[in-house]
Amino acid sequence: MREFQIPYPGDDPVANNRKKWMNSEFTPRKLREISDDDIVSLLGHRKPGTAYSSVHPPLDEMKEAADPIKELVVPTDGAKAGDRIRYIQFADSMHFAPLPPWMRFRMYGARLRGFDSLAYSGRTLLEMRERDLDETAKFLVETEIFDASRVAMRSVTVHGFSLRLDEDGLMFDARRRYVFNKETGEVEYVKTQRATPLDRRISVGKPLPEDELKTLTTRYHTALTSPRDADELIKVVKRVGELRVLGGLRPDLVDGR
Amino acid sequence: MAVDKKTHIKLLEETFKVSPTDIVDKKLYQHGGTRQSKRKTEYIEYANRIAKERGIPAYDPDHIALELEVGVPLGQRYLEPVKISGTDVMCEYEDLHIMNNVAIEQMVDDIFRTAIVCIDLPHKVLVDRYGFEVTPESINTYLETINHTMVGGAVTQEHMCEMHPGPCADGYVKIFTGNDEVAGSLDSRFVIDINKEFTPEKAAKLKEGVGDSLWQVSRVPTHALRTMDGAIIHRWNAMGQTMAFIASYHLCAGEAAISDFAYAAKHAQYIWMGTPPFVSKARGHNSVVGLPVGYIFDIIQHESAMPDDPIPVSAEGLAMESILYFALYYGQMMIGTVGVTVAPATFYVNELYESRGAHLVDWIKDKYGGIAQAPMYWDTIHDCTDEATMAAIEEYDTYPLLPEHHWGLIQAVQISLISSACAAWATGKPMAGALAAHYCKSFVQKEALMRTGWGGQESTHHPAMPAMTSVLLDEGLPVELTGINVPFRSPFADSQHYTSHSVVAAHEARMDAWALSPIVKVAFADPHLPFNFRNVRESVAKGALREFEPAGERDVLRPTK
Repeated sequence: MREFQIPYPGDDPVANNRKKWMNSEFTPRKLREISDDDIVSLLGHRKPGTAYSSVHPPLDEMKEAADPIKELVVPTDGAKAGDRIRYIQFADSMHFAPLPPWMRFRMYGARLRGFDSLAYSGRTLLEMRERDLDETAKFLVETEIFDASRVAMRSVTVHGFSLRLDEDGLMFDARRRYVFNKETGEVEYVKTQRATPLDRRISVGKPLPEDELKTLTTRYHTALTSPRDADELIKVVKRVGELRVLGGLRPDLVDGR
Repeated sequence: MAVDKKTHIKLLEETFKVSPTDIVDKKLYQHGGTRQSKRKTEYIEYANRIAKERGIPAYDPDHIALELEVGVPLGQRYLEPVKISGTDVMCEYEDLHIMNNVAIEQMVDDIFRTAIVCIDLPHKVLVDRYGFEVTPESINTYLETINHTMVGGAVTQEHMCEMHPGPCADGYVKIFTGNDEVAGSLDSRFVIDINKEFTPEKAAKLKEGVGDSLWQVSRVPTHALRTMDGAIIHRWNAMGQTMAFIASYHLCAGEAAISDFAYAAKHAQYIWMGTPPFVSKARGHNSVVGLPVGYIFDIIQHESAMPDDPIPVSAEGLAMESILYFALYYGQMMIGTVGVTVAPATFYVNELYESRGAHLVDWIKDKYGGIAQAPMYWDTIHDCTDEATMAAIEEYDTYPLLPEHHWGLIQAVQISLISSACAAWATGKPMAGALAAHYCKSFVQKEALMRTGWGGQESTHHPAMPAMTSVLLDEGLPVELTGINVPFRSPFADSQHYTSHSVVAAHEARMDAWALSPIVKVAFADPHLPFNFRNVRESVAKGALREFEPAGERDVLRPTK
């Protein structure tokens, strides 16, 4: 994929963190190791070691209508194999999860191929061909994109991102998919993202220290970098907002602005 | 209670019984489940009786979640009680579900069972075509007669069943005019007296708006509306009205002239409370989908505190909008069952709007020299949006109880809503308020927080900005005339919510006597309506306490228990 940096206004810590995530070349820190089988278990779409389900034959075996776009776009491995489309969904706490939904959505756009996504208020859905998803989910859970206390895999009953934290500093989960192991200091999943019980606990590591979460944050916060101080960002959104009205209503009025 | 800029935070502290700045809930997962809620406990016990009697399982949240393990165990977080703003009534959110609160239901019914028709033209036909005299006495006779026919009474045919008056006790007809002399000549039992129901300043403006015309307001029984949907209201009124005219003026029920008369009386100058919805909603006239948002300001009758304070009337409008557009349309008509039920209520509880409004009204007076004084410039819209948004974000950042209270990120809608109010109050222009809300949702809060609302929520706000500035029928419309039938407004309630609120806030800021129609304003000043449109929240509170007596009940027609 071509390297690129999505531009973003401002030069404060939040703006700079945002730019980082919208750079296709940025390599996030790997914080934990989770086996391929454990990733498959957490996703809950199939049992580890079982074959991928197909929704069509491999592309090589199919006779497709002529289409110049297909010559331009190289299919992903999952598309080549005819995998079904499956999902992973993350809930990101408003209490300093590294990537809130729109940031996560934009990060996906900067570095993933063959995906569909939707940013909600607290969660972000990601859909891909299944083998592509397995690989991507591993990347998303093993790196600093994921914090064990403020980010969670949830396909259902996603709420909790705006609630106060529990006594261990974890984001509320009405399905209790994960617990804090006080002996190891690690967060362990006891259920899949679909809230079905796992055969054994799967650790996703220790939560990041609060100070580090605040350093990593990509949201403006009154106590850190106030949105009132994001002068360049405010200037840009004012201009975009104004031009959106003029461009939609009377494009001729946009001339020279 | 006196509201200041921190009242809503103090109320949260009182209801949660913890510090609002605490980020940790030490009792999380140990709040008592469903049994911490008096209402949910009541539901479970009631449903158990239903299930036992009928032999089919019913509502049973604990069984579904804890025994079948297929649902969410409810009540792991604290289910906080809320105070209905503008009242001293505490209740559970359960009490503000539209299907649990008979006052809310009656509010909707009272709006959409209303038929308004000008009777100048039928009078003209009676005089010019038939050669009759129309006098105060003949009008009074007609009004007595229509109060009989409007509830199913027969006047021209014998072999007719009639309706039991019990379930139809809220069916009646009144009349009003802007001409004091004419109004004074009519039987006062039937007259909505503009001079009595409004302040002298507003009465003068309304009488000028209504003019010398004579307007009839029919309240079709709630019982009929609930049985047959809003589309019946026009027909029902037409039948009752024509029968009353025929009887009281001794018309012939078959001659050619009656067709002229029937058109003049039934249709020529009739006002619907709403146009029909788009096809997939499959309803007729007088549905919330076709209600022009300008009518919201006209329907509410709350006492104004202007020129100092636009908040009391705006808050009343907000409560009604939240119920009509968020709870009824989005929560029930678009979704149904559990739908969107808590979110709409957050707009009229815990004095949140009043507290935030208090800060913004001071800010507007300081910056622009008064309410409705700011120029309609981009800078005004931007500055109002920025101040409202940033002030709200500061609260959410400082008090973790607040985002928990606005669970599900209703905060995104709340922030845009208060931005809308701010720009509307500052300029007195609904367009400014609506643009501010869309701009806030699409850009300011999105870029500040990197989150907006539920999936796709903001998708309507980007096209809404240019579309709503157009007054072409297939693009926008003047703001007061818009409604859910405008395509970009229909998918999400919050889009509609902002527009209607900007209309209420702006017209109150301008101290207008009405927004869209003086006729509708006067029609809802009728003190005999079951729902009290002078105090929306007080009536809703009565419903929450189960102290509100709704109309249309069928007690006299069912077995005695």
